[in-house]
Amino acid sequence: MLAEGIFIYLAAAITILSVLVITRKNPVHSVITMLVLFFHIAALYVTLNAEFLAAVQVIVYAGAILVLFLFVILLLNLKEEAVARRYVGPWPLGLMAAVGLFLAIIVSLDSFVAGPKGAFTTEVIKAETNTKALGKILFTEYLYPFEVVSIVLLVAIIGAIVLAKKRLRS
Amino acid sequence: MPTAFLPEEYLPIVIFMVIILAFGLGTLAVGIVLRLRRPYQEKLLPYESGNPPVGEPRYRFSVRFYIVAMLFVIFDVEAVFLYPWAIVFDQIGLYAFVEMMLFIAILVVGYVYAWKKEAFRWD
Amino acid sequence: MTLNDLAPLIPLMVIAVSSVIIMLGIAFYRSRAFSGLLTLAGIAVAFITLFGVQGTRQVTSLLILDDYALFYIGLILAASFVVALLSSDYLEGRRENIEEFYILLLLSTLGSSVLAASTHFVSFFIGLEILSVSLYALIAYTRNELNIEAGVKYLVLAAASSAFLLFGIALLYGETGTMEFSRMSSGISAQGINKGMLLTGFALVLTGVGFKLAVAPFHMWTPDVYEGAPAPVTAFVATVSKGGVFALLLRYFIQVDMHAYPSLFGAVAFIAVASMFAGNLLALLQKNIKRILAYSSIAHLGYLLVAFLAGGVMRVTAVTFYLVAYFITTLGAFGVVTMLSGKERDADAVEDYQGLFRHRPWLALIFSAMLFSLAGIPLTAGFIGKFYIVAAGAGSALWLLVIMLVINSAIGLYYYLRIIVVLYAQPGHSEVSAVSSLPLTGSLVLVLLTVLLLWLGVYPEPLIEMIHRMTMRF
Repeated sequence: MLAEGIFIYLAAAITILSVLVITRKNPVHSVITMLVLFFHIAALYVTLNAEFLAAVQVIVYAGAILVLFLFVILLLNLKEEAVARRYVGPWPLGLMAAVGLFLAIIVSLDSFVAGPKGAFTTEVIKAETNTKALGKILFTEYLYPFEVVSIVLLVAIIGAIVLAKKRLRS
Repeated sequence: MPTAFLPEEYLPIVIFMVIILAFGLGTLAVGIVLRLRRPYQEKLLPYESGNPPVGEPRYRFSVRFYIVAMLFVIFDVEAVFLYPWAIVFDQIGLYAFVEMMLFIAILVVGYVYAWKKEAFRWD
Repeated sequence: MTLNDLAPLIPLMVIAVSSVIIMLGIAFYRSRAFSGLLTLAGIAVAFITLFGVQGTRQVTSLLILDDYALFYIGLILAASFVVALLSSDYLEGRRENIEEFYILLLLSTLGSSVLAASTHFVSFFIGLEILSVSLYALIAYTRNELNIEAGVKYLVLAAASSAFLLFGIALLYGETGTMEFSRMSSGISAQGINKGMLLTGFALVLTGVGFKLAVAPFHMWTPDVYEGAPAPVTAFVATVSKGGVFALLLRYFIQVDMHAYPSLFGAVAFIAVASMFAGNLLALLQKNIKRILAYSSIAHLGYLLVAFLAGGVMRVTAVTFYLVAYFITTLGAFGVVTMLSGKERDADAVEDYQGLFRHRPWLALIFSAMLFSLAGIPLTAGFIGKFYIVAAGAGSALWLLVIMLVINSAIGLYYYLRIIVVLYAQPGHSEVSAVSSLPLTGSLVLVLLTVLLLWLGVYPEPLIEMIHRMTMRF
């Protein structure tokens, strides 16, 4: 009962905060709302038995990516009139797509049988803790993707430097 | 139907956060209730050590902040991978060690590159 | 997991290692020749090591190196080699530092190759991310206004499509409990096939992939990105990035039998028809060569999907041959655009090509050959490719789709011929046609591509044989 209550609170808060993020006129307000949103998502992960994801959500998203967002906003230095303008083009199209997706998921939820189907059931993860289960599978079965992730990060480093710096001295 | 999972061990954290929130909001509320309210123009100006404020409070940030923040995100993600590694290290042992060294080595190349391209320099 | 498992991955590792070496190298000493040559050498060595992989090798549950994967990786590597050759002269004078371009090129090639060998959603997604992230930087590489606009558009749309894809993968995983393609199909049959969640998952995955392949109705970004990106990068986006994704799509929907889902089949058929019509009709309105080629590539992906919908072994043959022909033709066409481009802007207005035959008869002939192949005129590879697609479609009695394809080929003929007519008209006044001299490597590459194009158009049996042998062991 309590678990359901917590879930309903988090789900409602996430929905409302998401709508607030995209409707705020001042982008700085959007970012601050998003920060609160990220903490709620992290809490949702905790109740879903995924502590590691919750930690990543706080460390990477709330900690690093939001700072990046703020920098971009301050970099652009939007004047008041630009702040007021709604920078969304064909929003009815977006709304239609969103409603369509929502309906598709509502319809398909009907046939969804709850419960994890893989090897990692709630009990297994609870006994082992989420981070440990994740680490074990990441460093054995998913070894290649893990190494390849370093390449993804490498690409990001080069891309950021190449695009942001005009002259690359040697 | 799987049983709903309730992470009881997080209760102290929840209580802690409730106390923080209550303390912060409470302090503000007490201030609003107790303080005198006699505004005049000079008092409402932003405080700049006695000088009258000049210009807009918003100004453009340099793009350099952005590169630094960007690289921070990348290496932050790298660091995140170290947590599960540290936890399972005793079980997988040398194998995991080699994997992580390779992972870090590749990123060190990126770091050397960024350093040499003066991405961290401020001039 | 043993060292033995690593052996089949050598081609991929060669690419990764050469990019890391270049990166370390230019951290200390910049040299165009060094990074360019090392890139070419890396791709060549990777290509050669492909022949060392014996039989079908499954490497963990994530990657498979079978003949199909090897063939597609080979195709991707060959295309990257051509792009690397074309871009070496193109980049000269456009940006001060061109060494990073090669690293990004190598890494996106790696991403695309991973896609061709993926049998798991995790490797699929990571491959796709390497490919996309390096493409953001490649598209905006020369940092003029058009470039950056194209780069930002690609970034936003690729990120959005990745989000769709991930959501779809999550739903499929939630329903079947696995992310392996082969186990997913058995998981699906255990669940019963008409589950709404599965279909929603498929639809989302298809949306994400549709954005990457630029098929209608997810094609809106294509003309802008093609126009804005530097010409060699456009060639790369049109070939390497789409080839890898298409190879993966084909593998996935062979393992998870698409014909079992009438609604999915219908959706792909709709996408195919919409792409053909959107591509060909919108191309008629364009005055910019890059945009015309962009719309033409949308239409060509539509043709490919017709073959994709056909059943049996025939479809792999048809799709693969058509992709080879499409690769050669697209690289050739954008190669010509690259060669003619001046420093101020790319040679992308139709007027730039007016009377090209008088200035540069060989280049005009090569460009005509490429356009004929795109139109599907006999004696070119494009004709044989289209023939196989029609045969595959007819073999599965997809008459409506085949008729649509024929109608669209006729529409397509019109705008390809329009360009060809311009090539042989009286010379106009364009600064682009006055480019002083053509770089040697680029010319050689174009001649080679034309020879390949005609060779496959006249004598396609060796390649067909090769593809047949590959599909036998699928």
